[in-house]
Amino acid sequence: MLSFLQIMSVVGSILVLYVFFVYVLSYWPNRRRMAIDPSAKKLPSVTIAIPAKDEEKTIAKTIRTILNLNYPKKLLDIIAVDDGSTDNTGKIMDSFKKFGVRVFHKENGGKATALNLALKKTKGEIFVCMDADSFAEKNVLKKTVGYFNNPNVASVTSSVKVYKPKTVLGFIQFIEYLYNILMRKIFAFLDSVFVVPGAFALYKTSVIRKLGGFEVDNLTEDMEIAMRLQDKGYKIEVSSNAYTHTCAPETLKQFFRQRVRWYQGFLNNSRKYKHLYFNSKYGNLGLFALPIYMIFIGFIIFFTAATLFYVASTVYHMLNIVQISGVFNIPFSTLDAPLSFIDTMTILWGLNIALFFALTYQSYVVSKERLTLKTIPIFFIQMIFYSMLLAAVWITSMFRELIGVKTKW
Amino acid sequence: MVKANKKVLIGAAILTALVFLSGLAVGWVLDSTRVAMLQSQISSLQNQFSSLSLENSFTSSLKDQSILCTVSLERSTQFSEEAGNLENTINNFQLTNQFQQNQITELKTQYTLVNLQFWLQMRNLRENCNQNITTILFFYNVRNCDACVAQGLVLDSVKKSNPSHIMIFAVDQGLDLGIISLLESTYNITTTPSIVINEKQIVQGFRNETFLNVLINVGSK
Repeated sequence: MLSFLQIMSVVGSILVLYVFFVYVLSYWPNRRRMAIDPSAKKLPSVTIAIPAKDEEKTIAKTIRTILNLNYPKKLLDIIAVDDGSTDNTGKIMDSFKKFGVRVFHKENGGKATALNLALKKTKGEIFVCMDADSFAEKNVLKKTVGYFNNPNVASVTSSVKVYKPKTVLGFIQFIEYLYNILMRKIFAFLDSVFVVPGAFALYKTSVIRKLGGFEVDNLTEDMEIAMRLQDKGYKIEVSSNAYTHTCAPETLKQFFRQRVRWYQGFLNNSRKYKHLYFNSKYGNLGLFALPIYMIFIGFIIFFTAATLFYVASTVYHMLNIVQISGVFNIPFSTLDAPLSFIDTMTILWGLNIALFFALTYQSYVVSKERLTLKTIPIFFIQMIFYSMLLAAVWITSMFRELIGVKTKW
Repeated sequence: MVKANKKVLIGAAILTALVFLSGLAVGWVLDSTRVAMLQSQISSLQNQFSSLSLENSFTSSLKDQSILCTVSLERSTQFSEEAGNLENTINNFQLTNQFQQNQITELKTQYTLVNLQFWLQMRNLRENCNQNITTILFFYNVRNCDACVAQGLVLDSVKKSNPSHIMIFAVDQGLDLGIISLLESTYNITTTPSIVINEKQIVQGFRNETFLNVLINVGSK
């Protein structure tokens, strides 16, 4: 007779397998298309908006990467918005005025207000939102604007990589971001992209203006605008060849803060756009992407709790046996022969781990990164501890959302 | 209205079912392999026991009983070792197998019957040969009994100190066998772990090595 935990384990492994195969079946027929981005019939004029608050360490490099973009200068307009910085961000921005960067200073009101100000001043047909801690590669614009050939495309996102990770947490996020590059592209094949990362996101200016700009006071305005675009029937495209590098949090405290904001933002926007869920009108997004994401959150939390309980109970029993018997060298007889410990559950979860590893490998290939031996231990740390960390962030975010705690930017 | 890619969603469901069923099939094959392996080992143990019984019958017909005692004791010690190892394997497989629990229980029942017959034989051997053999009946539960695991470890340690003179016969109380109920009522066993030393000393609940050694020494004097 299977226990509750075993039943959940079976359901979990079926779910992982299903999601994996949806990815594979979406990816495989399109794998050649992935390497090619459409060329623009006619290069559009582009305004790049960089909102920033207290980003003196990175803002200069960010603006410099934009000035170095491989794109006709006459078609490029750069707006830097100082959102009430208390450090030297504003002064650094001003130093770029001589290069044609338009700088606006305003009182602090949040990223969305800064973006809306830039949107008001925008001259370009395409409006690009760029985070002040991100650095664009030279060809990022040329590789992305071609997607707007399709008149129904309202937004295109570049692929984001972590910039020079230094800590284990940084490396884990590096792998995670590569994984997201593949996933996001697959979601684009499924017409199911529900977040346009702010590191370097392109929007059709006319559409964003028509929709009323970015939502002020939203924790994840990039997710909100993506869901709004999906809701209104627009298409969001992804280039897996155009890269932007972003500074990811290197300490647990910074990481926790950032993720709580993201996840609480997701919960908040999910509530706002709940009509998208399980709604066949929205295709794969409503029937697959959003529901499966929500179910996975539940499973991450459940399995983390179950794993912790299992480990704690095993340790408790071992200690109990040692304490009762006084024998310290307990023979692990079950490890003597593989037949003694390989059961059906082990096979199913072993299969899932193998599939996850295959996906990660493919993420490296798609992102044109080299998989080194150093990655393997990080991969296992990611699988075991990172999921627990994410579960803790999800629980915190859910709790804050439930009791209505406002998370600050 | 965006069209859902039903081909992908349904295709993925079919592939999931196929892979999941393959996983289950591999699990089933492994379970069957375990059962087949146990079957063969138990059958071998049964044969060895039959042979041992025949040897005993034959040597008991001889005039010189000392041959019986020397040969039987040597062969029985060997048999006891093999039976003990098999018991561990059965318990491991019982916890690992997901599909064929009934077969494992059935095999464990066969094993227990052989083991208890062996216990009876050792009892007779001890009395007939006046040998210094200690037989220990160990009542345990395979699930949810930390004290049983602890007692098993202690008994292993006790046996190691005198392998040719101490013989342990583990009895899983979870088995539905008349002989087990009879033994329980005979020795008034009400809890696990419990130990019966040479059918005289009955110990209920966990006991440490020192305590058991004292009890064995007293019993054998």
